[in-house]
Amino acid sequence: MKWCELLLEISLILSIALTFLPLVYRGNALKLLEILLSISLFSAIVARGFEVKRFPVVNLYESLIFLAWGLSLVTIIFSKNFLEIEHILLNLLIFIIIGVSTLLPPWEKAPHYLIPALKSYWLYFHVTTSFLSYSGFFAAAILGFLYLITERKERKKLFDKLSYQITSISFLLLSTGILTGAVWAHYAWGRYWSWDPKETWSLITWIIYAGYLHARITRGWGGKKSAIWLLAGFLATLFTFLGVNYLLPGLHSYL
Amino acid sequence: MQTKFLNGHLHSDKVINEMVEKIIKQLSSTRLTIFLFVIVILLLILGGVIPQNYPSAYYHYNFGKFSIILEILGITHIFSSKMFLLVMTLFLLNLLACLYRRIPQKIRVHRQKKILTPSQVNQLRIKTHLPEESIEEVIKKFKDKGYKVVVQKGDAWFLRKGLSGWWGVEVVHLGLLLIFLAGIITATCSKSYFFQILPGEKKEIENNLFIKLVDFEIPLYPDGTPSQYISTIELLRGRHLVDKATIKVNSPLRFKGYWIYQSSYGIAPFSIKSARLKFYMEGVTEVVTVPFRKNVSLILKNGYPLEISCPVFIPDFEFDIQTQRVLTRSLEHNNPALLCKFSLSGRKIIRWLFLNFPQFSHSNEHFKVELLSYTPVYFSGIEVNRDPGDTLFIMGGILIFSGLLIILYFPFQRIWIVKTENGFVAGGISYRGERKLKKEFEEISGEKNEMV
Repeated sequence: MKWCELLLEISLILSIALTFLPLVYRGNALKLLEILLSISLFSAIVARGFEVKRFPVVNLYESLIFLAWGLSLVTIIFSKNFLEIEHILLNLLIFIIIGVSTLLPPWEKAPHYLIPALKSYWLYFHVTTSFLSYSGFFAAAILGFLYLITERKERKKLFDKLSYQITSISFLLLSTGILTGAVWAHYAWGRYWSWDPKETWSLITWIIYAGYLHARITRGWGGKKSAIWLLAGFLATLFTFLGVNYLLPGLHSYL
Repeated sequence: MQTKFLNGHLHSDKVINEMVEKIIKQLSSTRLTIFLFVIVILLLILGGVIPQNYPSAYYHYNFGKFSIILEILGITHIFSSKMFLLVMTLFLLNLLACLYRRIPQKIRVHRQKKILTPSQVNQLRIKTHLPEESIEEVIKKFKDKGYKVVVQKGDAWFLRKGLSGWWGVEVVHLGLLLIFLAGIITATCSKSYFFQILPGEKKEIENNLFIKLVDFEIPLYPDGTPSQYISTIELLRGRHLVDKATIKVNSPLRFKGYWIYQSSYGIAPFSIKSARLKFYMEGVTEVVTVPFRKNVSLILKNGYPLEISCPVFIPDFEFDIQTQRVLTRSLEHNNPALLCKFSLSGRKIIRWLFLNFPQFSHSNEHFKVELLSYTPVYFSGIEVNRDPGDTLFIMGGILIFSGLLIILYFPFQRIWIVKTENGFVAGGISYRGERKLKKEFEEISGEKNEMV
């Protein structure tokens, strides 16, 4: 078994443990497990990099691992502020993502060389910022969902505040991802913007979150409207991430 | 009479001013911004789902009668349609109106040097009692946290920090504005040329500036897939060499406002590098590699002298019986044929050799020849762009990035300290950093914050 796959199996077990352990145990060991999960996922990415001898975030398999790692970072960074239920749901999402990545067919996991179009230093900035922003938006959507289902007022307030914080940071990351993508496109294809479906959908996602921030800051929207907006943003993010590649033709034939 | 006229003039000025103000107010409303966001999202979704800029037949085939509606509304080429342009123009006006309305207020606060009275401080949302140690000590603590004293009058202070944070939003919107402008400049002033060049060829870009392809290579990975496309090019002004470079995918050449890209590649239709031919003659078999369009002389193993040349290559061979002419059905190498001329002991033979049909060349039992394989010539697809909007785009991008960073991490904090009957009180206003300000107050005063 390859190192990357072994580390993924370990991450899978850790994420199951983190999803179900809080039901019976509430202690500091959970925090330690979360840190271990993050380290394990990061090591899986590094191991994959050594195995394929290139930057290891260019196809579906690799980007799912990266996305899971991004989510594990969110759980650690906001560890203090998060309630138990947030930890459980985020770890459940991490578990699902790792699960899907391990279940992918062999051709998706097969190592392949980097195509000439992707041979650029911009790949590092563009991919990491974009995928980290996806992780953030997913986490924010979970908080939005929790806001909608919970009845307790102080909890609602917390979910609302945290989702806003995470969305703000993710918006900066997505903006950076789009801008570095545009600069890279200028180097690779000779134009900043080609209205390729991936570009169009990332712009849609960006505008949805820009709208969220404007509505919140200047018109004081918050609570339910914001939470629903975050769920719409989640759908757009998901489509930008996966839908575009599997449903629409375009320049971004890699992920 | 003159007074009346003047009055009338003033009155109409006032009316116009009011109207302009009204329009600007309408244009700068967040309601319009959010409405435009929704409209743009809808248009983008249409453009992101319906394939763009295909020929009419494509839409007719896929959408039937609806294709006419799609074409009339411009949905088949949404990003260059008038509708999209109109929405984008409204967006631009909205952005400009917002900036116009906000900037005076922003400048006012930027220049603010006002000291507040104790009752005014009391009305602030975030405030705290300061410890009873000397006020200089407290001010020093604030200074250690990065605050600067703007004004001090007796027992009243005005301190602030993170002034850049006050301008973060404007920086982001200015960045967006620059990107809009860059887009307009690119759409109206940029030039783009595309060349398919064979090694050794020279083509004119514009104004006596030529591009010559010296060499084109496609190095491969061990699995046979291309690892890079590399063109060695020369730029010539007339006959004078002005620049020479190697361009690859992702590393273009910049030359006086031109960006020269390795854009694509392809197999040259009517040219090959060399061909491998197999001869059978009186029981002897021999394989020879012949360069395209060059004469080769050799002595065969059985002692016969042979001269070969291959002057013509057809990628998709077709023979028109009516006109008795050789044609090509396409530019793809579907039915490659090579015209070969042989001179065998003084006897001249001319034959078409077909890669896919070797038996066609076997007419003579004593002398058989087959085209075993050939090495194709690759042409390099080179794109030359000149875009005066690109510097503006980069500037816009940097502004958006730094503006967002400032908004997130450099909140603008203002603090007023005044003396009351119960000692010194500090009150503050925060722009995007209330939590941080409250924490700072707690650290300095050692007491939990009062909130009104």
